[in-house]
Parts: sequence; structure tokens; C-alpha cells
Amino acid sequence: MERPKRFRRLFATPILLLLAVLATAESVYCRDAQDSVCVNVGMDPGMDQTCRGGTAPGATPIPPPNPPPATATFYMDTVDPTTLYNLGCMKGSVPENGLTILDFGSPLNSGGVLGTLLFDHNGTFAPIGDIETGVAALLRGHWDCGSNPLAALRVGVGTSNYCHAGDCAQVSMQHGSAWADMIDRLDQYVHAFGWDSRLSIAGAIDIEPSWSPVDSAASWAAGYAANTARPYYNYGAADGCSEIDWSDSPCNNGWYQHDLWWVSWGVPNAYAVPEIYLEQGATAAQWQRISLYAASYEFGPIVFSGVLTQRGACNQKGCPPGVNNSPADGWRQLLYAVNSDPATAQPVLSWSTDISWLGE
Amino acid sequence: MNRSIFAAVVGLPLLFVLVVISLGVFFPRRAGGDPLPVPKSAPFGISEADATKLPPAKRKLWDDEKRREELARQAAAPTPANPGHVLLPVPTRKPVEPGIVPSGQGPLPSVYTFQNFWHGMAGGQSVAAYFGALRDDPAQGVVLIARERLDGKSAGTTLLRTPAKRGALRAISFDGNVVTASTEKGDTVLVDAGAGAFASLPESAACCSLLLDMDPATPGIQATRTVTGQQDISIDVVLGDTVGELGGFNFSLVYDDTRLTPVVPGAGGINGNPDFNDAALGAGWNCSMPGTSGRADIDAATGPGHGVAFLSCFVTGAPPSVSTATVVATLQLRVTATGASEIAISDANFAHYDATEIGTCNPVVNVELTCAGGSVTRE
Repeated sequence: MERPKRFRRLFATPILLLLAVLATAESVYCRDAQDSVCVNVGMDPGMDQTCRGGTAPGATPIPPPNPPPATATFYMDTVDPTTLYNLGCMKGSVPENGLTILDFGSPLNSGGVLGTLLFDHNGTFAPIGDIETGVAALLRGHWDCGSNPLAALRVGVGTSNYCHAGDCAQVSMQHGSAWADMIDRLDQYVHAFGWDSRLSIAGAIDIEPSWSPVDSAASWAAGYAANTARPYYNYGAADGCSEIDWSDSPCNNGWYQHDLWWVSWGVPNAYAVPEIYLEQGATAAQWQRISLYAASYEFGPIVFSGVLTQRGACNQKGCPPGVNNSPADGWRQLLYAVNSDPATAQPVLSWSTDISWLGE
Repeated sequence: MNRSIFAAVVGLPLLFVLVVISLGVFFPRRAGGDPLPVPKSAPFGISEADATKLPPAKRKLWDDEKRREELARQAAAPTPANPGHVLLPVPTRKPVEPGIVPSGQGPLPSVYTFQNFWHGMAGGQSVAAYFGALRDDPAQGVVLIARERLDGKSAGTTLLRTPAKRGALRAISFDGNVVTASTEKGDTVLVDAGAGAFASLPESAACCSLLLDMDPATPGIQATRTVTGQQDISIDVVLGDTVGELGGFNFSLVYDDTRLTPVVPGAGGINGNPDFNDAALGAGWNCSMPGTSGRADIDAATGPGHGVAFLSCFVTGAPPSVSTATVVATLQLRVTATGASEIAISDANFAHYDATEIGTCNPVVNVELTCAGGSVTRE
């Protein structure tokens, strides 16, 4: 009687556990003849799981891996320090871990003072100094209320390449430099108070080809990179770029895949958290193609830091069908897209963040 | 005892080997590797595994950041000063002064392309009306009206689409909460931003009308008619009013061919069924292309929506000018079933001689032609 019990304890239970794990794991991914993860960029679960270079015979849709919890990113309609302190406090008291972006709007030079046009109803100009004060208040609020041990944030202070009133001179090297200086000062602020175990600061920019010529965005990026080693994250779209071709094909407004690669990855401290919002996977496919372009013609693929979706903003303002990816779907689409080709494969896609309007 | 020792000495290592082998069998290495759980430390969101792929300049920054994170974790950190998460009172926002902001920055830039926006107060709420177009359909003008309370909380959003696709809208002036905007085609639109509705639609965006007169013998346009018993009826297709020079058109009249049947199938061309009205529009017309033109039922199937009369004509001589309600064609149908039978207008397209659009309906391409069908009831 003792032997069967010991056998079960020593062998049967671990083996059952092992079999359970293997059964689960085996259903997570399928592979094709080239041993690539089989994905369908279009994400239609009814379609064959096709890989570049081959199709897995009889492949069936597979349960996707679990995405990280999405952080909350905001279109900012204020730089009021009290409001931002409260926002930081709320973020610090929940287990939010990853990248959060505060999008302060498009670059603007108002009477020689550099800043942004906020996302408020007044079209308020926010000088960079006021943005800095507001973000500092958010950082203080986060630390002051940071009782949750999992609350650790990389705060991206964001702007865009949107040309205010059609004046693309606003998206300038000077603005990028000033933005970098602000990021450096905020970085020093975090360090001076000893908050850097749970807080770090970075630049961020929503770069979209339709919003400005390449030169404007590239100038901003160059100005930023010249003044700081802190990273900036491009959380924009690749509008008009190919979902199929990767031979430096054109995108909207005179941009090419090379240009998006450059401002998102080619600049040494540029990193990519692209906006993946189309439910049928087209935006993920566009970015995978840009990465494949980079793998083929530059010095290696883009390693994506994460994904930005807009489910929150859609819930607030209403969206037409098809542009309302959930954070999990956006994350999976990009993960699957990059792993559809060994040249762009990356095992980990760390972050997921979802943008909405502050205060709503 | 010996069995236990045997199990511990041989069984456990054997199990370990089995596990390792099994993992090798079931988790074959692939290019790129399987996605792993999100790591606790991933400088710039890039994992240790992926850091090996970084170019030198990025790798140096990544290494620096990793060292920095490690040092930060080891350093003493101050105690949080607000462990109770007490929020500070937020000042109420000031009422918005009305004005137009020359910036297209607005909500959901992946969905809309805005030209500018108006802001003001309505009903004690801050209101912003963003004027532009759908990003994926630049001809579709839109106004997105966002309302906000003075505490910064949303009070709702309304999306208005121009009925006709006349390009992006742009606010040009305002009077109170009524904003005047123009389309790319130069039409004027009035938007009551407070009410969240169009106050007036583009005058030139809706050109004219195409109506069915179910009873031509009675003056005016009769959208309905009642008959007793099986009876043949004529239905006039009336274009009106001010159209100007007419160069060509086509339309379909859709009905249930189990309830209404063609009096004659139609020989096609200018004297088919529908019968082109050369008395009103002149003789210089061709209605024989495509070959289905001038036929009373071009749909082989039967049932509701499968009776389809089609006419397509273009001018070959001097184009006529249409300035009043004009019958362009007449369809003859036999009312075979009792009760009400509907006839709808579909795929109507009227164009000038140079092929520019006069108006279209079902669907509207750019300029809306107001189309209305009719019905006949057999008692």
C-alpha cells in the first residue's frame, strides 16, 4: 500500500503536472515547416495560419499569449500642477507598471516661448516650463501615494509632429532640443529626490506621416537626440505605409519606410511604441514591414518596446467600426506580426498602454 | 527504506531528465523564440533577450540604463508622504470665451482630420466643435462636438456628417453658438454647436430631385395611387426643378415582380420600357447602352426587389437645359396583386455634358439628388 502512494507522490503527480503544462503550451503556438510561429496578420481566426515562407498544414487558430496589463496614457488638457499631482497619486496607488505617456499636444512657438497646444477646448498654449512643473507634480504625487509595490512607471512626456495651423516650422529642431532639456531636468528631479527606483522619465512624440513633412519630424528628433541621452518613444501611426512591401516603399505625405524607421529607431535614443488601432491588423502589419525593411536594409530590425491603443478614447468620443482595438488585441497583433518572420521576431513585447482623455 | 532511497536517488534525477527531454521535444527552439512573460527589468521596454539585437549605440544606452536601474533599486528611497492617497482639491475651470482656434488638433486623430475648431459655452458647459473630415474618406465632412462640464468631466460627444460628400469642413465665423463652416467645394454649412446639430445644410450639396409620379393624369406629383382590380399604370420619372444643362443619366426602378409586372418587357433603347421622353428632352439621345437599358425587368430572379427597370441615356446632340420639373421617362407596369406595392429609385446618376455630377442617390457620390419612390395600392 505504501509503494503506490509514494509512486504517485514522486512520479505521478509531477508527470500529470508536466503533461498539463505541455498540453497547455502545445496549444499556445503552432509552427510551420520553417519552424516559425504561424500567425495571420489579419487576425481573422477563421483564416489559415500563414507564415512567410510556408503554411502550416492543418494549422488551427491558437490561443494567444497573455498581454501585460495596459497602462493609462492621456491626451492632456491641462498642466495644472494640482490636477497632475492627483493623477500621479492615483497612478501611484494602483499596480500600474510600464510606460505611461502624457500627450501635451502639438509643438508651438508662441511669441518666442516654446511649448505645446493642449488638448483642451480653448486651444490653450502651454509653455514648456509649465509642462515641466505639471509633470514634476505628477511625479511627486506618484511617489507620495506610491504604496503599491508594483507601481513603477516610465513617464513619457509627449508632443507630436502636428503642424499647428499648417505651419510646419513649429515642429523644429529647436523644439526638440528644448523638449530634451526639459526631459533632462525632470530626470534630474526624479534622481535628486531618490524616486528613480520606481519612476523614470523619457520624451515621447506622436509622429504621423500625414501631419508634417519628413524634414520637420526628423529635425525635431535630431534636436532632441543632440541634447539628451534619455530615450524618446514614438507612439504614432505609419499611415499610408505598405502592409506588404518592405523595400522602402512610400507612405503618406512623401514619407518612406526608411523615414519612419529613422525617427522611431534609427536615432540612437529613439524607441517605438506604435499605435496599433485597426482591428483587422493593418497597422501591425505596416510596422512589421517597416521593421523588415530595417532588418533588410539597415542595421537590424526594430525591437518594439510596446504598443499603444485607443480603446479608452473611442469609448469616450465614439469611433467608427474597425479602429477600436482593445489593448490586448493591439498587443497581440504586433507580437504576432513581428514574429511572423524570423527577421523581425522578438520574444518579448514589454508594454501595452491605452490612450484616453484626461478627466473623462 | 531501500525503495525510498531508490526513488530519491534514481527516480528524481530520472524525472528531471524526462522533464528536460520533454521540454526539448515540445518546445523546439525557433528563430526569435517564444514570447516570454514580461520581465521585471526591461530598460526602454527591451528585454535582456532582445538587447542582444541592439546596434552598438543603443546597446550602450541600454546597458547604462540597466546599471542605473540596479543602482536605483539598491539606493535608499524616501518614505511616501501621502500613503492615504489624499487627493488635492482641483480648481474649477474658467468659462470658455468663444472663438475659433486655427488648429486641427482634436480627438481621435487616427479617425478624423480636423481643420480647426470652435469653442464656447452652451448650457453651462464648455463646448468644442471640431471641423474636418474622416481620415480614411476625406470627402466626408464631419463636425465632432464635445461637451465638457466645468470640472473637466465629459458631458458627451456628438458626431455630425454632411449628407453629401463635399470635402472637409472648416469653421470660418460664428454668431453666438452657431458656427458657419465651408466645405472644400465652397458650400456653406451652419452648425448649432450648442444644440449639436446642423442649423442649415449646404445649399448646393443637394442639387435637385428625382420623383416618381404614380398618377400622371392628376396634376402635381402623386407619390401614391389606388386602383381597383388588375390595371395597367404609367409611372412618370420626374427630374426637377433647376438642373441646368443635362448631358446624361441612368437610374433603376426597383419593385416586387410578383406584385407588379411589366406591361411590355421593353425593346430597349430610346423607346423601351421605361420609355425615354424625347418630346421633353429632344431627339439627340442614345439610350441603347448598355444593352439592358430600356428594359422593364433586368433581374432574372423574382420576388421583392427583383423587379428592376433600368434606363441609361446620354445626349448626342445639343444638351437640353432643365429648369422646371421634367418627365425624363415613363414606366408601364401592371398591378397584379392586391394591397400596396412599392417602387423605389436606385443607382440614380445625373450628369452634365462634361460628365461632371449633377446629383446622385442611392448611393450619393458627391451631390445628393433627392430621390423618392412611390406606391400603388390595388383594392
